[in-house]
Amino acid sequence: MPATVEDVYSEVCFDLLEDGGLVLGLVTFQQFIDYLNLVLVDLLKETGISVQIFTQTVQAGVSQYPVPEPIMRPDEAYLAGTLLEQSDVQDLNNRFTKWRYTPGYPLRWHNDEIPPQTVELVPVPNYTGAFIRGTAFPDPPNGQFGDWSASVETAPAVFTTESAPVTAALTVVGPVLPTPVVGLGDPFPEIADDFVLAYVSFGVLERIFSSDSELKDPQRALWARAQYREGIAILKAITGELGPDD
Amino acid sequence: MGTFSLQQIDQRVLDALDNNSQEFPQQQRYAVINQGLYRLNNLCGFSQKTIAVPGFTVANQLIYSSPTGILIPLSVDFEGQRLEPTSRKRLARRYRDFTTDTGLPREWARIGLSRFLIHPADSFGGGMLEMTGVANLTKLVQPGDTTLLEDQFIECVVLWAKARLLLKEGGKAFEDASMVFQQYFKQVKVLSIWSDLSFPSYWILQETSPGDGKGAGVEMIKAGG
Repeated sequence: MPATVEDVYSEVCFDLLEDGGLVLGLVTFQQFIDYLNLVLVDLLKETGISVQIFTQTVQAGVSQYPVPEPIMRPDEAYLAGTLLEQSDVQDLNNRFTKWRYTPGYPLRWHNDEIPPQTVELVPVPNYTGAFIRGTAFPDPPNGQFGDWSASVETAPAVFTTESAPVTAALTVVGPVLPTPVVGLGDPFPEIADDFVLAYVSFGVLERIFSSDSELKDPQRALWARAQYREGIAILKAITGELGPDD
Repeated sequence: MGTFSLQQIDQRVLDALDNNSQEFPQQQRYAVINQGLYRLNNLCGFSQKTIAVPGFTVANQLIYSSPTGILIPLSVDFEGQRLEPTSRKRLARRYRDFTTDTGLPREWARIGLSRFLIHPADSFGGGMLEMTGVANLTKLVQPGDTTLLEDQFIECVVLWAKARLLLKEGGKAFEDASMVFQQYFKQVKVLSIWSDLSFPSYWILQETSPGDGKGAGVEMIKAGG
């Protein structure tokens, strides 16, 4: 049986001397859920143990493309399967004149000084790639998850999976935003049970013992923090051992 | 190396807690022992397995799922030949068309922990892919459930479980128990399979008084990491 919110909840209750559940009002159940969701986001953001790939159509003259919600932030961008180097506005201003208006084949991307969850290609694409239909077409996200290649419509009602060069599409890769948990029976689909049961409760306890409440206890907060950070350190070390991503 | 039952480990934990089974009920001790074993396994990788990726390689397919049961992928073999570990960015910089290259696989790169890619993609298909990695631990539930471990690992679990169980007490009792963190770190550092791992720091807060020559306040003393 996979780990559920209840496993973390019962641990936290034990440490707060409320074995039967949070009833004293020092921490409410909703606060616990809020802390837990914060910890899950923090864990996945810092470690990148769960990664998603999203491939979407490139359109001539359109430089900004949305990064759909399951991806927390874009870490890498590829065009037609080839890596684009990340840049920033300051660097682009120093290197190129009128880069926002000059069409060409994109060579770089950046995500600063534009709306959140968006990437901008530089130069502005001068071509339109093969049309990639989203699963909820015509609703967004208009693109496909899971691979650099994508399914495209080659003739009316005929779809074939084509490789990245054929679709000439934009692919973004980044850590997954965890699905928020709300109830005791909710599982943690993005994180393996052994990681959930070993570290997540300490992230919650650190926040509880650091909160401005009757439960504030700096010493216990420091200990819980050390336990939680150990998990983050291991997951980061795994990344390092297998080859850093830069 | 020995076989330890949950009951045996529990007895050691209970001894460390002055046999106070009333304050620390069996259910909680068992949960903490399992938690300690998970943590130690993630650090030291004492439970490793080689599992075949379900099915065979598919011609020109780049991405595969890690087999169920592998928690942390460590290496991938293709037809009995070990593939070189690399990263997506490194692959992408070295091979412009890495997403479409085909041939005899030579390298692999992770995509999170649950998926990985092989490069070049197998041009023929039907090849055997095997992954070796740190495996999930089976939870110990019944007192008679056993685990095969070296004694030093059990020692680490007991040290950690004591501090973990005393967390609910807070105050001096917890502070004293938490000091074993240093001892735990020393032992675990030697056993860890992750050479890049930097252990987090742990600090003890100690009150100071004007008599110490430090003024009244709180001082932080590094206790581990």
